[in-house]
Amino acid sequence: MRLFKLNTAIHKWLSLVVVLQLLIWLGTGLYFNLMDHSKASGNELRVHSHHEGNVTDFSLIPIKDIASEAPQEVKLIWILHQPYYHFVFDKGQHSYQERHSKLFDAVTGKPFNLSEEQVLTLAKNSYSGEGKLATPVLSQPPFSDHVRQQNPMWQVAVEDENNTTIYLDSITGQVLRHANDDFRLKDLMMKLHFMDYGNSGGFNHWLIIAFAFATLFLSVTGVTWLIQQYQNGLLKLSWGSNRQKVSVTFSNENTIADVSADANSTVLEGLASSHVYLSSSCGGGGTCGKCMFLSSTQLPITLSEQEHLSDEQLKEGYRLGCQHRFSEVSSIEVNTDLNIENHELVVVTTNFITPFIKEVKFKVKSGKQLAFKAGAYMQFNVPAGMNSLRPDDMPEHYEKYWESYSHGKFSHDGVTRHYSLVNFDQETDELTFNIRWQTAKDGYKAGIGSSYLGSLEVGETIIAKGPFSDFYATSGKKVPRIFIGAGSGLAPLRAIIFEQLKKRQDEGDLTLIYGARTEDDLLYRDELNLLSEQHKNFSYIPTLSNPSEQWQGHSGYVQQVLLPHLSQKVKFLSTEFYLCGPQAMMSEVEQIITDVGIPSNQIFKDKFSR
Amino acid sequence: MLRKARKYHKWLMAFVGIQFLFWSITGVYMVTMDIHYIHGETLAKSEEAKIDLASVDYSIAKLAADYSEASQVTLTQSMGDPLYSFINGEQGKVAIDAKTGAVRPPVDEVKAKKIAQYHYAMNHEVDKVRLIKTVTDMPAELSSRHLPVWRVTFDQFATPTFYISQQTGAVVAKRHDFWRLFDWMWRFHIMDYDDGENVSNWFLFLVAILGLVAAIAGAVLTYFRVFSANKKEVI
Repeated sequence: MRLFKLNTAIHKWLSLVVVLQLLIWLGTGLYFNLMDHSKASGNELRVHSHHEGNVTDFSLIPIKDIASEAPQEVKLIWILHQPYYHFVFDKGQHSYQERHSKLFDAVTGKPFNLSEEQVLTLAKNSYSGEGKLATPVLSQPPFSDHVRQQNPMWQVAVEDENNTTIYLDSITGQVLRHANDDFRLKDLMMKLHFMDYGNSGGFNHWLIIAFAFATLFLSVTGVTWLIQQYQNGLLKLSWGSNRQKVSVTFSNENTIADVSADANSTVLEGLASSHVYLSSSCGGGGTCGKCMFLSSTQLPITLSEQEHLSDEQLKEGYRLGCQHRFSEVSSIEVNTDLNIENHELVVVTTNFITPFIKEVKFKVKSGKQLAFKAGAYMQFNVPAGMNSLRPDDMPEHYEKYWESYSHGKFSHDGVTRHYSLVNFDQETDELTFNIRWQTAKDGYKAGIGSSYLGSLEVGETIIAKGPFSDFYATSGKKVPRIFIGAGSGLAPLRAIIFEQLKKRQDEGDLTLIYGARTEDDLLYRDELNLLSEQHKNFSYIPTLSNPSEQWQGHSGYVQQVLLPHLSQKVKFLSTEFYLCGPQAMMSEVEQIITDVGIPSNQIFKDKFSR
Repeated sequence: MLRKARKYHKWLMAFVGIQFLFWSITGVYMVTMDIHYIHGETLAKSEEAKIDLASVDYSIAKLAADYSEASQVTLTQSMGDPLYSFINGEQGKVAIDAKTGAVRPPVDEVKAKKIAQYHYAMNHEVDKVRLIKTVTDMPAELSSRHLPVWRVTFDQFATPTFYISQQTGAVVAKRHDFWRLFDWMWRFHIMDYDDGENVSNWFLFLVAILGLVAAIAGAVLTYFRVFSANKKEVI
């Protein structure tokens, strides 16, 4: 049985049936809640006057002497201080039900009928307003101001702003009702609330009974749905917004991007908040079954998914975006287009930090803060144009490294280039990149991207897309991690290390083995040394392939430093390896760690040359 | 729009949805149960008997002479016997025999039982008879203006109950469990869990406002789902 679908379908179709009346019920209910009861009663200008006289002042004729058929009941009543016998021959349980009765003068015993003047006086006595009273009219039911009334009534219209009409009993002249516009409004609300469109005067008719049952089933299916949502963890309350990043693979384009969203929102909502729209025609109710995604981890299967996805799809890891929270997933694949925005970046500072690497800091021109996982990269649009073969703004002390490279310019086509971010997103509002100048080996053409980005001056802008990521730290907090990098491959590693230590308060041991040519080539040397002093769980191990004589640290390539390190320290079971550097170095290192038995799912590589 | 409506509908209903269930359960009860039945009108035979005026020998003039402060004088009957009931000044309600003018003794337990059975439309044994004299002793289902009364319950499903005025012997109220349930339904319907009389309570206001927003969001959802279901993406 496809109970989920059945339940939601019933809910939908019933809602279509009762929607208008349900809104009327709620609206009129609110009116009853808020209305001024004394006004709505119609009795704002009604006063009670006493007509009673003293029984001893009159010589009352015995009731048995009255010439009348036998009554059920006789009441001695007073009209304008005169006594009368009210003979009631039959009546219902309610005063509005049909009643037969007659009035007799209690002194003379003669039948008595109220005159128009007397009725007018009675009506006047009951009314404290300024309005002028019209001549009473003896009217027959039905009455729009008193739908249930089955007996005739005297009707006295009053000329006042509230359109008061005074109704009196046709026999006794008793004031039955003051109806005015306030009263009529309430009456209309009642009629709407009771669905009394056929003027039955009550609420026990088939129309409201049918709607009441429809609404009952609507409520039951709704509550059932809520319970299902609760069971699937989609109704958990959580305070504060806790953002979570998820790596999203766009299978159409084979690109990967990080999407950051409220961890409590559903995958569908979370993606939509970053302008990634899964297809959906129900808006997240679990009823259309369209918002599919592929999860890298095994997720529980909800009722909705059971009924909308095939067993094969479920087995492969397909789920519905509306059925899982953002916090449940870490990396997913979607079959939709990536709407990663282009950002216009403005150069904030540039600075040569090694002989060949320039640190360039950007801000997003629109002022937007980009969210990304440490290790992410951006794709720069390098326009066609003329670039210098070597930098024009190089500091003097690095001049010696550039002596063999000639000056000049070269022209190039437009290209796109990828650069890893050096910082993590909450470290600063800037986007920092290390631009390694690809020098002109053959003398006439330098690296297009590096020479363009490396020549940007403060205030100049460039278009970049992203950030994207497929290289980032796992979420484990106590896992030992070894970072191995060389040259400008430090960039994503630095971002991850800083994020782990500064933002995530990582407790696992972090080791950075970093290879460079000379002391001058060591990127962020002071900063990393300081970090290792501040954090006991972080060790910084630089190694130089071409050190000066003063160098007291390791010399040689990272592979050579790694080997003894592996034999000493590594807890093979859980240590993760993060690699970024020249292809040759990465392959060799991967070989080494695979040989000692590290499974491939603990090795993460950033492709250095994108 | 659709996603927003979905979100608001879901979360608001998570808070007030249960009241919608209560509203519809109580609503169904109230509209399906005939209000005259709820009022216990089927419990009592309707009074068809007429007063034999010839037997009313004690005239109102005599009554006026004997009870000069009498007001609200009514000639009525109890189990076929004519009687006058009236308010005698400070003394309150008095009933006197309309044939003789003798003050009718207050209804005793045996009489109360008899009156109850005389008016009862069905044929069940009386279960309990109890005299209620004070407001503190009185069940909430009765109005205090009827005191003192005999409470006569019948040994039957839904516990039919007649309240019989101790002075006049008139059946002043008829109750049964369907009435009592109706009263609770009403309380749940207007969300006055206090004394069940105040429609203007803030709790109802809050839930009705949230409920109205939730229902409007639901209506938006229905509109999109039913009338634009074939549009591919309406997010």
